[in-house]
Amino acid sequence: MDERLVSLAQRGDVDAFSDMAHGIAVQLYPVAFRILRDHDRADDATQQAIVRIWRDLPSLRDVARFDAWAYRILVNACRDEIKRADRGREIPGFGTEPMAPDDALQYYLDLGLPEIADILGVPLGTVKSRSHAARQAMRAALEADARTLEGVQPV
Amino acid sequence: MSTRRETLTDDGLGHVLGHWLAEGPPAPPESTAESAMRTVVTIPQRRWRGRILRTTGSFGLPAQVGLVVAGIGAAVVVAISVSFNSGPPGVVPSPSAGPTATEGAVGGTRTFEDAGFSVEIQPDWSVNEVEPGSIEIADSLSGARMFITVGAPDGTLETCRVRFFPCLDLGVSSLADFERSILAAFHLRSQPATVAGEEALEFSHQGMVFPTVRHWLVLQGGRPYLIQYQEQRNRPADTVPPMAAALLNSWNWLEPESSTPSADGSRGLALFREPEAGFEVLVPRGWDEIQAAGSALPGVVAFGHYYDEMSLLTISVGMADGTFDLCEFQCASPNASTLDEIEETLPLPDTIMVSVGNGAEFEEVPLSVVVQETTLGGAPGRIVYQEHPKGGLFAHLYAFAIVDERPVVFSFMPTPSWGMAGYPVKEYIDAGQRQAILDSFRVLD
Repeated sequence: MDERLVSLAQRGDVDAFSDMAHGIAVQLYPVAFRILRDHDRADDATQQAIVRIWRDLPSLRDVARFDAWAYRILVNACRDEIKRADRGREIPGFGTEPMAPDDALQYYLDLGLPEIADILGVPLGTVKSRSHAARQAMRAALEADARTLEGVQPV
Repeated sequence: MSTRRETLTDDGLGHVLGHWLAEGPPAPPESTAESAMRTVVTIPQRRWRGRILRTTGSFGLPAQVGLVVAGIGAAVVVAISVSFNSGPPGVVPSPSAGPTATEGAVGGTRTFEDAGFSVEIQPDWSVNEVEPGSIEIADSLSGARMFITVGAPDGTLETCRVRFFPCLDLGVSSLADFERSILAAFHLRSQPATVAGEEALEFSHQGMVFPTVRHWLVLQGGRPYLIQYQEQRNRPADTVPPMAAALLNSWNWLEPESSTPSADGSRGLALFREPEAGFEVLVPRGWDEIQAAGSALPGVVAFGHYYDEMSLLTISVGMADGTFDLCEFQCASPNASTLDEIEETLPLPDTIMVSVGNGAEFEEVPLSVVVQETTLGGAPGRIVYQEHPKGGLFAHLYAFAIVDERPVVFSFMPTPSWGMAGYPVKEYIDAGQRQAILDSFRVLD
């Protein structure tokens, strides 16, 4: 993100932030979609994140860290979406289950575990253990699917 | 036929996940940013007050408390969300955990020594003095509740315990400043009221689906009292009358004082010290350094409320060679080494267009200039302003002096709407506070 625009927006320049908004949306929306697996909810989370970024931008001390900071806000917005949906949601189908933010950040953005820990605001060890557990669960699920498919005979 | 099942390696798993994650749209809908911006333009940014140093404490609250100055507009938002999630009527979430000094149903007169008032407590009311200066009174019959937060005599009101509010760190220098700053900024209308003979502001938020939340702000002897009343929905008609009226009618001050500003003009002020600016000064608590015309110039600092970025006070500190920057109407960099020379640089219009008749017509009226002697930063100075033909100030009030051989100009803006239709403006800091601000100015070494 253009640090000059970030600095201007940080001082309350709405026009500068408006110039940034589309870029932020382009940057955040795909991650939101990967976490939420739902277009509308990803759209909502992205909008929420943009509003929160504007609101809290003065608290960002280092504009060079804008991207990581913005992802953290997005992840929190996604968590809020998941909580909201959990209150009355239907059971999702395969591939529509919300994904752990750690995994979306790791596999979609190709971020390293230390960067993910920074974005999520949790210790590196937590990210490592979550990542390991997620991989194990994913592996088990994929292998179970593979076993199921092996047993299906063509008609 | 035999089948060999392979276990996924980490790389293989990563490949599968990457492929799965690659599904989905690469770009957001066109409307995402636009929709967000429609909200963005309606909300203020949160600003932290790291550079405004507190000069006084209140009720012994920890001086290092992390503070968020948040307006009542935000409180309304919080109120809305809390109301949505507060369950059935009558069930109100409690304030954050804290020591309970006094609790239980008590009838009769109840005196709150530290808070400086007494009220009549009815038999069905319960009192919970969460901490000194933070009192909750509930009516078990109607479900209505009142929450009274008492500030310090210096005008500060600092609490994280007001129901529905985020943490507050207010400097209430006058009812007019509170009205102009907090209420006007968030489009909350207020009306004059009185509480036990003291002037007050009453304001409220009322919605169709939310309980009515009404507030009174009173300044008694410089000490702010924020009284909050929440009336529950579905209150049965045969229950007791609204407790607000009963409680406020029985309110008594322990030491009746006039709301006339005290002799100590520093009430409600907080220290601003910014090494880059090269000076320190007291400014009304709740104001912060803002970006305004000319504030990017070296030696020029503008102050105001963070959420509207309107300059209420601009301080220009010049160089030892007499040059200074002044951005009133347009920016200029004059040179002055005497008070007369500074006065010559001030933009003082000769006339003003004043509305006449039904307000649709205007006539040009001459403006006279008022000059007073003062002190600024310990140096002899001068105050210059113009009076509005209809009373009050017209536009800026300038105070200036030569301090440590540098020209220093304070430009007080009574209200941001001074230019509209030529109506007189309202001052929101009194003369005592203004002089305290001028006296506190000091050039940093």
